[in-house]
Amino acid sequence: MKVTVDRNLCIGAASCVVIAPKVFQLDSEAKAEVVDQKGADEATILDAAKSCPVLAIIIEDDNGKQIWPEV
Amino acid sequence: MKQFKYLIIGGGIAGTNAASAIREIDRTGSILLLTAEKERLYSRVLLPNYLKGTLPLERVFLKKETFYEENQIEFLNQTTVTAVLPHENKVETAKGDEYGYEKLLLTTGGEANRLGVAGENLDGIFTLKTYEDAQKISAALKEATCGVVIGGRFIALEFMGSFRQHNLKTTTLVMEERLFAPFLDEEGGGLLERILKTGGVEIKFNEKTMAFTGEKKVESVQTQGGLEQKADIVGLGIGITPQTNYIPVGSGLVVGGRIETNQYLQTKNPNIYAAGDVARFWDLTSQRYHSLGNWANAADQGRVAGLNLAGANIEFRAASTYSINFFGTSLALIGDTNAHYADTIIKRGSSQAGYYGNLYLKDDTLIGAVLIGLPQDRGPVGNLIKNRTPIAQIEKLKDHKIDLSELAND
Repeated sequence: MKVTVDRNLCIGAASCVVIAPKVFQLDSEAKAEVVDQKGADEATILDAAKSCPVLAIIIEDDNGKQIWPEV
Repeated sequence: MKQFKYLIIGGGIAGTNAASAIREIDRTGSILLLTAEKERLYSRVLLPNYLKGTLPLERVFLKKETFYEENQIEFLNQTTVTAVLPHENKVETAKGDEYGYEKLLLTTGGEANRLGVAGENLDGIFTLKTYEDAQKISAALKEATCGVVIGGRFIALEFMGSFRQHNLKTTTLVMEERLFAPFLDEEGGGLLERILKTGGVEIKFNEKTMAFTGEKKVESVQTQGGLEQKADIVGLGIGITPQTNYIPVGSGLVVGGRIETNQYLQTKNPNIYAAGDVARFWDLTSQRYHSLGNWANAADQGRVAGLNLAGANIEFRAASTYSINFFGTSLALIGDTNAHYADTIIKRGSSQAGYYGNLYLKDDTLIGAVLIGLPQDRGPVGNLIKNRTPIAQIEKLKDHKIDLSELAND
């Protein structure tokens, strides 16, 4: 599983940081960044992504298929 | 009359999350989700990005069209509930239909406030809450050259950002004596003002709007102090009023204009729950009834309410965050930012340097924070509030170079 953050969309609401603090942190511009791809179990990371109000967290499975946001 | 096991009024994030949460526990119980709006779930938080031209409107949707059917959620749009009848376990709609329920969830949010002054129905005067609002504003921005924003908080900031993005001459009329009153002190309000001025916004304080003038379309805004401000577009960012007018007055469900719940988001009627902006919930974190008008809170509460509707017994507990990026910096309100409930307020950082915060404490525990340009503090502040971590050396909070996460229990 691979997690990325679309910086153009991120508003720094930090809901992902609250749910998975070892995976996401806010950088110096108040944008979420991925600090550890494996900082939480996959279900927690998916919960963190789903909590994003601007759908800025993108999750792909090991085959590169986007599993969140649903396309 | 059609009968449902679960009936949810309101198709925003609280109501939709609740429906999803019900399905985690109850795969087959019937769910009816009613929404007054036309669209399926979209992100209100993304609407300003659309107005600024950084996102196409179709990207604001948070669910696929097939979501409701796939989850066996009966979804009725453009359906306004006119009455809840708690004794008969049913609701009535404006279309004249009735629906019965076993469990009812109210997530009706709020309606954007208007001023109620002369000329307010002229073309070119907008609130910003719905998809439809955003469509209208976007169309109007293409023609506009001169904008007035009324208000001094979040939605007003969004209007200012959108207006300036379209190179409008932008003037903001604030009723109070500073921005974000009462959440920010004078120093914080002053910092915001400087940032906005640098971004090209003219701000006038203590200006109460009395009327709008124009033929068909707005031409100017008139204030009590005699100011006449030219405008071909006006953005009203003056808060919301919770939607409770469909609840019978004698039911006792509404207290202080909102629907009162316990920490399980259950009202005093055991079959009725409430979540999101419309709820006034018993807040375990601040130990008082509390209402919060932001996305993260609505999302979290919707989920908890949905699980409880389906038979779980989960207490709602959260540190709520509301944040915005504007003119190159950011602002966040976290937890309880009502100075009235704090016994100590710490100023963190320096407004001169462009980053500044107010930290609200009670009994040596952090209960809330307002942060301008201190993004690294948001995660740790949230944890300190949620975990009610006692803070030994309060003086340390003043120094923005000290990492708050060192004070937080992980």
